[in-house]
Amino acid sequence: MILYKKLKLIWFVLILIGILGCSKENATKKIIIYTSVDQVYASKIFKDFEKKTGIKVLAVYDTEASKAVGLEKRLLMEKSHPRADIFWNSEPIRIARLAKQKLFKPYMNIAVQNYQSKNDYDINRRWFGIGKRNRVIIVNTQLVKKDAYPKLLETLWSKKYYHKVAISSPYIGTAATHFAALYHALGKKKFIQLLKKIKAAQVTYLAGNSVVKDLVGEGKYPIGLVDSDDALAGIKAGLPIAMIPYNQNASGTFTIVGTVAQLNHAPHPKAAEHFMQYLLTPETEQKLIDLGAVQYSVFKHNKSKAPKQWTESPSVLLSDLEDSYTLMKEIL
Amino acid sequence: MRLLTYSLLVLFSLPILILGAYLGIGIYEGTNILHSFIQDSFLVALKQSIILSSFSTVLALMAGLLFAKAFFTLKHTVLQTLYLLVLVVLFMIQPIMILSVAKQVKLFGTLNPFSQSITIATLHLLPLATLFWISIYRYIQTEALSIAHYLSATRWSTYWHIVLPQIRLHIGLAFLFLFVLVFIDQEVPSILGYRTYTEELLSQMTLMEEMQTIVLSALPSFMLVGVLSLGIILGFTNNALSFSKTISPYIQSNARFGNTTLAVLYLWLGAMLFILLKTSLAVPIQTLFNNNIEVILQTLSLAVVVSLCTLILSILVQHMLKLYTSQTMRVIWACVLLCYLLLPHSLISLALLNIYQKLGFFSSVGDFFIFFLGYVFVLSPIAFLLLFIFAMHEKKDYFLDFFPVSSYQRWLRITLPKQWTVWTIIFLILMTFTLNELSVSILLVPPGFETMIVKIYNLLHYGDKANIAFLSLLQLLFLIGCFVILSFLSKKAIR
Repeated sequence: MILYKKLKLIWFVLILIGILGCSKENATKKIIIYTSVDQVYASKIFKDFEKKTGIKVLAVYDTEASKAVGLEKRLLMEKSHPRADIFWNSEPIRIARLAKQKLFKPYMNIAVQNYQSKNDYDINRRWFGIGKRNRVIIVNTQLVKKDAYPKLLETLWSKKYYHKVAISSPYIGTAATHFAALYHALGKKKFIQLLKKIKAAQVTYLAGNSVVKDLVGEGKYPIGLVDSDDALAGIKAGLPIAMIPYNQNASGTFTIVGTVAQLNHAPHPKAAEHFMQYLLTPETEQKLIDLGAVQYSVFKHNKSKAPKQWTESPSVLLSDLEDSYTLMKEIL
Repeated sequence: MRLLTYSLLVLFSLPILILGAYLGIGIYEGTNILHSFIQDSFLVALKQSIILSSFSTVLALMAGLLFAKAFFTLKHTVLQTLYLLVLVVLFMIQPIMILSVAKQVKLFGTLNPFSQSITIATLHLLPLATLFWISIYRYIQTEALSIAHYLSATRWSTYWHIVLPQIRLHIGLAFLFLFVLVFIDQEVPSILGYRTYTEELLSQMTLMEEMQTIVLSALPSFMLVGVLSLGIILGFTNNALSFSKTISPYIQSNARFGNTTLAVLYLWLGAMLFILLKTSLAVPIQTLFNNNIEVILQTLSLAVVVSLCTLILSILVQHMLKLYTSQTMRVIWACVLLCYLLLPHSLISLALLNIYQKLGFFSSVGDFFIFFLGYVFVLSPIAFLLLFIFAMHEKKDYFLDFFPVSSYQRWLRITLPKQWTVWTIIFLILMTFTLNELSVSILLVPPGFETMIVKIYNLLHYGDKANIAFLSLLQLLFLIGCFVILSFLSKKAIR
């Protein structure tokens, strides 16, 4: 009977914890943000936004395994009854695809002439770029000598590096964007040749860029292809890796712009406006650069020294994404 | 009452019905789906998953045999209890937490992703494999062993002709169960760079347009579940489960072996705690709390609410089943629930997400409801199974039939105080499962909500060692706390 009474007390305490924990803060000023930007960076920006505006951010982050694609699906599912106010994406193609399906509301409160390139925003003002990062080659410095660092992207698929290269799955995230851009730049015939070379080189496909970075750092693979933020995070963590901006004597490295958009019929439109105002400034972009989330600016007056880069308009790349995906499924 | 019964049964079987329906449509639609199913990448991933699951299962069973042998050499009941306790705690430590510890101490050195994945899966399965062996040994008919011993039979022929025929089925079941445990949950090998079926399935989920295709591509796990359930049904009908004498007198080994193994297991647990504590303390404890207090509170409150609701729902279903179904129906339900228990949780979550989208009742309440329902769907078969097991040992109070008490009075005065301990035990077990659930958290999480296990999973990619270690440590301490209370309560329950 004593046990019975003790247990009753335990149950009471546990139920109280549950009720208290579940009675969510009834914040009148809140905003729901879906983001595929890495949580370690995005959460810091959200905290800063909360501090400045008093608006509580309720975030949904994407996981490494389903980078950018998972949230795109969720937004499409919720198209008729949007739950999110903002979609802050780590790359541009998927936001352009959603914009085509009229998920986003035009945002007028920004001077587009401040952008360095027209590729970095939508001419209909449905999405805007914020911060850029590059696709880069990384090498394990203990396994590859400095004079043997690959300088061209093509060399990764050459016989010299058979079985030695790892990339993240080309069907998801920034790797998919990169391959769509390569399809656009090379044309169908040359793209097929490229895929055949990649297949012959027995390149390893991993679950995400950070997995590639980790395994190259650990020496499992001498060479990898990742985003510059992953490479820098690895270097900061003390991994023996070097970052190589490839093709500097040719077209340059492929660059990826981060993007943000405000949803049509967002449940908290005013808060969404506030977030757009906060994020789309050189100051916030500089914070992202300082954090290591992005490396280069999209704004004219925030011009930092960048290696030679190239990109394509996301709207143009949209159809290329589907075509490149089909070819990759057939060949790789 | 009857309506409530059927509503509850339908609620429980909903995911199975939905998946079945999608499968049906998928098969009807035919060729495109088949094309995606037989893709090279999918088959390669499937092959890799099968190899990984088989290797780690065999290794865990082989090592588990030794650890079980060590258990039987322990002389004192206290030591045996401590042994069982550490095994259960170690089993509840999820692969992702083993990985986080391994990363802190660079345990793997230059091992390739396959070897790393096998090591982690084997370490995770080993405690359960040991528990399997301990329970399997208990089913050996000791009388036959005595006769064999009396007739001076060799150890090999005793094993081959007496022991093996008795436990063959149980070993098979143990193998299948462990195999499926590795097979359905392979997030960690993906992080390590070993491409698996789970990862491929997740990719397909995010890329494919049609739900049917996704579900159909999960066919191999359905097949496995089918094989497993067949084995379980055979197990139910096998009379070999009725022996009770202990095998320990026939295991020839000295007590030092058992004591050393017990010490090794506690050292392993202690080392994990120490490594995590040391790594956490690289950052001031105040900062760690500030960074993680929200996720800790959210996870704990979620675990309490979900476990409580699942338990209540399961008790109700158990009660209804007792009232309205025959013995055969109960066994069929138990088998169905066991199969359901082994479905990939990501599939159940995705099916729920799809229904949510189709129904279109989007709201913040709806978000939490679907998230909560995901957990309940994943946990309820576990709760039901545990209730089923405890009910098997329950003695019926026939004398109560002679007293004119209402069923309400009987429930309040007799059942409730009697079952209180059992329910608390099940509640705590459900809490540990909730704390470790990854797929539901990833796929159904509402805005602004986060669980500790997902935070660990995400941070692992960025090498945020202190926060990973701190969260892993807390998670471990919760588990240990739960099991200390459990071991205390289970003694009371047995009394």
